[in-house]
Amino acid sequence: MKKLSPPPVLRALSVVWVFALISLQLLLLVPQVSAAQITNRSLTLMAGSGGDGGSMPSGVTNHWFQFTIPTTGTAIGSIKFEYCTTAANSPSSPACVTPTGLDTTLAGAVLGSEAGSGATGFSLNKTTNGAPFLYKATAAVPSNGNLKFRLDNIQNQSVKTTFFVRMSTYNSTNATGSPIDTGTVAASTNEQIILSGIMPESLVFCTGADITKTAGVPDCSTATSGVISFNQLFSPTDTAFAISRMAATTNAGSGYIITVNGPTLTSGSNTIDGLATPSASTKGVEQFGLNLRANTAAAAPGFPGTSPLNSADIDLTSSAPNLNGRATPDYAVADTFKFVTGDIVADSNFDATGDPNPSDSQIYTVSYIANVPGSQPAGTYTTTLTYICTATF
Amino acid sequence: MVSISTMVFLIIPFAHAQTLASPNYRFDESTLGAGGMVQSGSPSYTATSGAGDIGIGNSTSSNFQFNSGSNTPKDPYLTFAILSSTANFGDFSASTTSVGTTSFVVSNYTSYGYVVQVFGQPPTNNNHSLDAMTATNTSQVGVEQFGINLVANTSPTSLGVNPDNGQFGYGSVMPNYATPDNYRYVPGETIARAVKNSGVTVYTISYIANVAPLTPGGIYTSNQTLIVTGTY
Repeated sequence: MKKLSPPPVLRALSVVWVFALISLQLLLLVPQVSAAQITNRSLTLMAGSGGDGGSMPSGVTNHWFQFTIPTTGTAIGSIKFEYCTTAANSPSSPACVTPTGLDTTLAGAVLGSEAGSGATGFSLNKTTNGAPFLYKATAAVPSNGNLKFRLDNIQNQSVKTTFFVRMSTYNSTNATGSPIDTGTVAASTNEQIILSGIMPESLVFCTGADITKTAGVPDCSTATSGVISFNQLFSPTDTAFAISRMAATTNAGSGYIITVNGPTLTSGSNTIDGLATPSASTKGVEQFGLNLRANTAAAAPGFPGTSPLNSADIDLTSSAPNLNGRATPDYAVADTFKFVTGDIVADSNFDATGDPNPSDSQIYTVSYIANVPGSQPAGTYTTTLTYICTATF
Repeated sequence: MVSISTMVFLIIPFAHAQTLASPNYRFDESTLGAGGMVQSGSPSYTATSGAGDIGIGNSTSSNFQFNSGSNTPKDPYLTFAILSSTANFGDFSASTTSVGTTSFVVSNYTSYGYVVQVFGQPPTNNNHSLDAMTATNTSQVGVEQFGINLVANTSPTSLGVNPDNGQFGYGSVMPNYATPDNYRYVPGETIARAVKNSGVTVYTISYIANVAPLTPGGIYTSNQTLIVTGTY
């Protein structure tokens, strides 16, 4: 029986093929050296000391890396943070491309914190833009694998998109050689959200013979108009009085002031002298004055009077922070009166410090007195007083 | 020989990045499918689409999540875009509430999830800022308030929408910002998150601003920064 056997050439090829295959298997059986995967890795973009939002394009911010290295028994001499536009190299992107506008070399760029990190004592090398690395003088085994590092004053990329940081640990102190562990994180810069709104500047001011409150709030729509008459004919033996009211509120940051403007009581060429300085009411002496307090009968027999013609203090009573109206000092003493045109008679500076403040609405009662000597010429004495409320925003 | 050779291949210890984990193991990536990933982008938006998939899906349990289809890159993957970046309250009034909305989108892949934090002052004019609502509360007209939430509201008006997770998103709003008609604003707080791998989630931020009669007049502005941090 003839034994069939392949041609010598085929046998030779078969042997070569078998040896090649075995060689390949042996090659593959050799343990591959490869960096292990860093886990629990994150990059938080934090606001910088200059106030730039953490994710703001071109913002100078702080980059907070937190990660866990799986290889904890090997000394670490350096840790590299390579900023790239892609997570890993690929045929279409064979090398790391530094994100546009990124600057890791600013003068202020520092290792801001390594608090809580399992490895400490690092310094920052920022020589190469986009690839800063932390290094130690001598490599050391970390106390644990949870590492935390904050790189401060890193200028973000200028574009609004995702970028990647490829992190690698090395035994060397200059981020060279084979990495021990590697891992990549992604972060994203984006535009800020802009909110805007306008609070209208507000000033509400009114005067009248009377102003009342609605639901406890001074209400200018209740102001009554008309001539305000003194309670009696002028007399050297008695003090005539009258009252008017005004209300003011503003949201102006520097509050309001109220001035009184106009001539004293006048009849033709005859006048009743205004009180140039705060003075008590004196019968028989030529006096015209006003104040913004609740007065007593010592000033005029009709005071304090009954509502709505009562002399009264400011209503609602002032109290910080929202009720800040007050009579100014020359017009704030009961039974003492003054009249100088242009004087500030009230403002919203209840705390009497610095500028006046914004104030909710309050009602001022202005009390007027008129005294005349026996020689006062007869006639009808009138005046038109204009109160001006000025708010400073 | 072929048979032996095959066995040898099966026992080869491929050295590579750690891939499987729970407290002790994890998958960095779980994929099926043979399509290609196509990614396109603009300065403000990135879209990813797959081609040639027979099926794309995602299945999860409380401990495990599995993605199939071509859209399963192994590298960290994060998209974050502000879809609408301005909210103009117009004129504030002590008798009405001013409202506004903005929106943003997040997706994050091969990760333990992400958190979204908000930073920035409340609307401010010179040195006066509207009072931030440091406790979750309802809108109160006439009381200075600035607050946000990320859900659909009916008070003080119909405002905002709930997060849109589409088919594969797993984003959620943090409890302090998830109660309809209740608002809050504490800079630095986490307002939304995904606790696992998540596809696209579109979030809408609803803003309310109330002023008091004495809120100083002027233009109030605020630059808000959203920070998305993924853990991989």
